[in-house]
Amino acid sequence: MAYCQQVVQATGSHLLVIDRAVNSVAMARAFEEHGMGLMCMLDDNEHHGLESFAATQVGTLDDGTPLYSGTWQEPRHGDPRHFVIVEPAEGKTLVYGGTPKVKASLEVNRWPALYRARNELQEQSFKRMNDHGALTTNYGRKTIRGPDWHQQRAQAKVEQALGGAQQRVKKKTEAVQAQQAKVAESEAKGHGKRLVQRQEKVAVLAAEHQALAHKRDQLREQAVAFEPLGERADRDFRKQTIMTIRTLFLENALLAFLAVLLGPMQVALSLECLLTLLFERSGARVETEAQVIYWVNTTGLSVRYRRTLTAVAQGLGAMDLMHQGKPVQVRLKDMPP
Amino acid sequence: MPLAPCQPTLDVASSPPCCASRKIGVVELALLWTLLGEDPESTSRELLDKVAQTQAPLSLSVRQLNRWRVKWQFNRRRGRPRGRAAATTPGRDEVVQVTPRLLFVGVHLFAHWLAQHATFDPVVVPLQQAITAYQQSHPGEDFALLHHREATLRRRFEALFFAPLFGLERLTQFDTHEHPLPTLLGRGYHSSTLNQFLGQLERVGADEALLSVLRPAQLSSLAYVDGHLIAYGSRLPMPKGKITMLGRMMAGSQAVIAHHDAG
Repeated sequence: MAYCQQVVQATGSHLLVIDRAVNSVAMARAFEEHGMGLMCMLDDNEHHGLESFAATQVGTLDDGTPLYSGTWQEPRHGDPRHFVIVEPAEGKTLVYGGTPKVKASLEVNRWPALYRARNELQEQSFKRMNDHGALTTNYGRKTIRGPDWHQQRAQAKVEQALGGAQQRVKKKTEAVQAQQAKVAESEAKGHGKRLVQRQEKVAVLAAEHQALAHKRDQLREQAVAFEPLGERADRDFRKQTIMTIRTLFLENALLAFLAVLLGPMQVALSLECLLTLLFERSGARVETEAQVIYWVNTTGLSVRYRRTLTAVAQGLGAMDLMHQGKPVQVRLKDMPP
Repeated sequence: MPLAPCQPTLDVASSPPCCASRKIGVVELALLWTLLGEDPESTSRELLDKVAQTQAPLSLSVRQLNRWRVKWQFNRRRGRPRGRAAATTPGRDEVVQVTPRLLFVGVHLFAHWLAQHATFDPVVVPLQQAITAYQQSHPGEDFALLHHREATLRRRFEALFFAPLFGLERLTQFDTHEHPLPTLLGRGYHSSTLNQFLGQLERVGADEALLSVLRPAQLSSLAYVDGHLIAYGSRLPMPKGKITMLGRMMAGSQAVIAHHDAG
């Protein structure tokens, strides 16, 4: 939640699409409480297909697959999610869940497409950045001293347990005292059988009180035994963060460049293809007084790739590239290897 | 050493001190003055060649011409002329520079596009702000980054930026792999320089300052959020603090990355 709040703060987007790792009801409730929208997908073991939902058909996908919308068949207390179900003729049922804020902002017909876009936008993007952006490279192994959060957590856990134990001992003490009062009352009134029962109950309560007190004393000893809060060395991630930002910035720039290049072009081109066909190729550069000419080596290219590279060169020409006030031209040339 | 450290420009003295001599007339002197004004750094022999091509050739020796040049303060230093190519005005198709073998042609074109759109300005400005803030909070500190000019900051960040496109995943590969940084940025870098640069960026807290460059220009109502984990494998001991595989604790880093609906 803390990460998501930071993302919302940084981007201004209040609707978040996250993978199945966060499809719990508690997470949906937390998002709802913080005024944010969450869309994710249910795991296959969380439902039994369309029969698990009280859903009505709201439309069809482009391929004709029916689309249903609704909530659980048996209402579940505290689950704020609304569901969109895609039930194809063959294959498993896909269930998309969204909090009320998502339902209010997005048409249910768009949910499957919006969720599926995550695959291309994020998972494929990570793969690309691993391939050509050095995203998986570790930078910096320096350690930095900070508070020992292992000790902090252990201490907090013991203190919480001690607080609970003290409460239980106090309650049990009150129960023993109440029962002792009842025993005294029975003795005063001359009860026979009831007195014995009450005395037995006092003995049981006293034993329980003793066990609880023993547990409390143990926790108290543990709490006292903690040493003053120490320091712990952890990895310094600042270098890693700088280089991750570098990679993301590079990816954004590459995607923007590709979008501008593809504008006037008639051929489809992926970023991987552009990197292989143009970026990694060698060539020559000639600068005259009037222009800068780049020759791209086309040796070894198939006819198809040559055609694509010709289109790329034309697209670059249409981008009006300039270098120090001179127009940049791109030409293809067969060069010896 | 130049004989005349401060030469008058043509605007200051637009007419020569003409006093015709026994061997040369006023018209010839005016012609010489004009030619010298057009190209004050030309050698006397070149000047005489030019005069010879005119309608009124002069019978003047180099020594005599040099005397006139000294008198007019159009004299030049001894020796062969330097930088003649820059001084002359070549034609539009005259080749200025040729790089016969250029690696990663596309990266050069990409760099031109980035420069044309001032892509690195939003990077350099927060870096400079972070450096200024660090200087104010640590007045006693002194290291190289604090004195870098804007061009140096930009060039070094560009070296880090383009490295993955050259297949340089680690900074040490700058020393061992061939890369076109000299043709791209005008100079190459060793890994030690860039390592030092990165370490000093870390010192001034550039990681927080650079986050602003990733913010999208246009706000979007929808954001895709995912985590990215990198395991750290090393023979050196490293604190184990991050979960990089399900159910396993090991050293590594974890990033939360958000994309908007346009990517």
